[in-house]
Amino acid sequence: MEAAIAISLKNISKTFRIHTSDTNTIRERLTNIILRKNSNYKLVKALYDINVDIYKGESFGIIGNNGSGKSTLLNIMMETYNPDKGGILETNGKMMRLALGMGIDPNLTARDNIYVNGSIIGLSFKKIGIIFDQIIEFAGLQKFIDVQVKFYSKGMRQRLMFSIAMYADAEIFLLDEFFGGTGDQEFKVKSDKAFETRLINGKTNIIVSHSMQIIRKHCKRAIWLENGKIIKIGDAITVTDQYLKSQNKS
Amino acid sequence: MSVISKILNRFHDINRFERIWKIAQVDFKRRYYNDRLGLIWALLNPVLTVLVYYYVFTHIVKRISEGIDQNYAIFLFSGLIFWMAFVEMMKKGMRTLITKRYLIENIKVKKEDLFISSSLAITFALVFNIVAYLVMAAFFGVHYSFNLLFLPILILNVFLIGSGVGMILSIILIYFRDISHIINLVVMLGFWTSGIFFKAELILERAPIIYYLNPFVGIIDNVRRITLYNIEPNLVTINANIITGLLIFILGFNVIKNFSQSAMEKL
Repeated sequence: MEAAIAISLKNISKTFRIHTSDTNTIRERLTNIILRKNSNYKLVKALYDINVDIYKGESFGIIGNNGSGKSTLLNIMMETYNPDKGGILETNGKMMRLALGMGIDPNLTARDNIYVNGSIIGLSFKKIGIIFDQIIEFAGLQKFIDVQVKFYSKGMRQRLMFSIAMYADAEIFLLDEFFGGTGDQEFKVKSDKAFETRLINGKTNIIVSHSMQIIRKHCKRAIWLENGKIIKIGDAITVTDQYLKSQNKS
Repeated sequence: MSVISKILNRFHDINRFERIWKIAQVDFKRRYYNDRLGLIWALLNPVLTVLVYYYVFTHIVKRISEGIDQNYAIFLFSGLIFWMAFVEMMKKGMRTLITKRYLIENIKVKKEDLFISSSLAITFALVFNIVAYLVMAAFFGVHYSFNLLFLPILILNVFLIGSGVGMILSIILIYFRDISHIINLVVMLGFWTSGIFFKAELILERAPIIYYLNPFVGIIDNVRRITLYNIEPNLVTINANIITGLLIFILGFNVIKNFSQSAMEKL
């Protein structure tokens, strides 16, 4: 039986137009038109014809060197960027991207951040009210609920973000170098466990990481991207093995 | 506030309204509760501006304030708060894609909602200023009638134009960074031609084109009709301006829907 698809990417390519000279101002555009100079830009292809289906409840790894197109791919999944013409993206479920330090406004209190994030994901205020205490308690921030996040330490911010993610009702998570085991020892144990039980089991996860251990530990399948192309797709262990081999060679 | 969210709850997509409401609330808080003086700033800004112009136009260039029977300070204030709310909606809206980037990239959020929230937050402050203004005007002997019921329409009108223009400019800003210089110029032009300092009839007599092109001439005129002269609003301009507002809003809405993704790439 075929499992339900959470994210389907068909023929996804992405070309960026990079302007070599600065044409972000009206003045420059005008001088270009008057001098009949074509504005200089080059096309940079970040992704070539990506075809992947990610199934519901699966953890899927994305590996590759810096600049291989991993972030672009995530941005396309999040619909921050549009793919080139012809590419079809289908997503099935509420998505949240988790990257440390992102998604949180430092000028707001923990309370407001929880409400903003929660309600964008699609939770009603009622529901947020119910899970609010759990989020705060899990993060261990009871004393700092109404303190602006900018006064938090780095560890506290991570805990808050992690906690929101744990209790948020999203179905698909894009984990951008974001894992359990952040913060001090006590929280590390707690978050590792929560990461296992709440995220890895039952939710769809797309995990981007430079750490092969994490990919191997959590993912069944993975893709290896290089210069915007899929080099290998398949079983996570095989893919990471081949990737490591190629890295050692060069 | 909870009364309004209760009404909104009746609508189909409850969460969407809640979300817009929450982000607006948070925006508002962020703006006015981070300083000690808090909400007073929202009021202080137009009050100080009024003081400056009041002095200039009643002591130095007296001709401008001649022929206005009402208290000139109140007259100025009524126009200024509406104009300033618009400028703020436009400027805040213009930068929304940049300031709310942390949300756009992490959670799938309808970008148009962010603009609506941002303008809504400024509308809260505008309402606060209007209440302060109505109290002041009453103190100076203005009487009110049912005409006051038109006020929400005028507030809605500013909201539509402000958020619509904000949405359009937010995209343009990313492609043409120096648009802000031009915007400052246009804001100044609007400031002097919207009839903040003089009666709308003066514009109708001398430069009818501006009267019809700049919706704020009509809006500010109508604000004064119902809150200062206690007469019926000009229904022609009310209708025309609401239509203009709707058109601008719909245009902005579509611009954001169609171009925000390609614009985000250039951020």
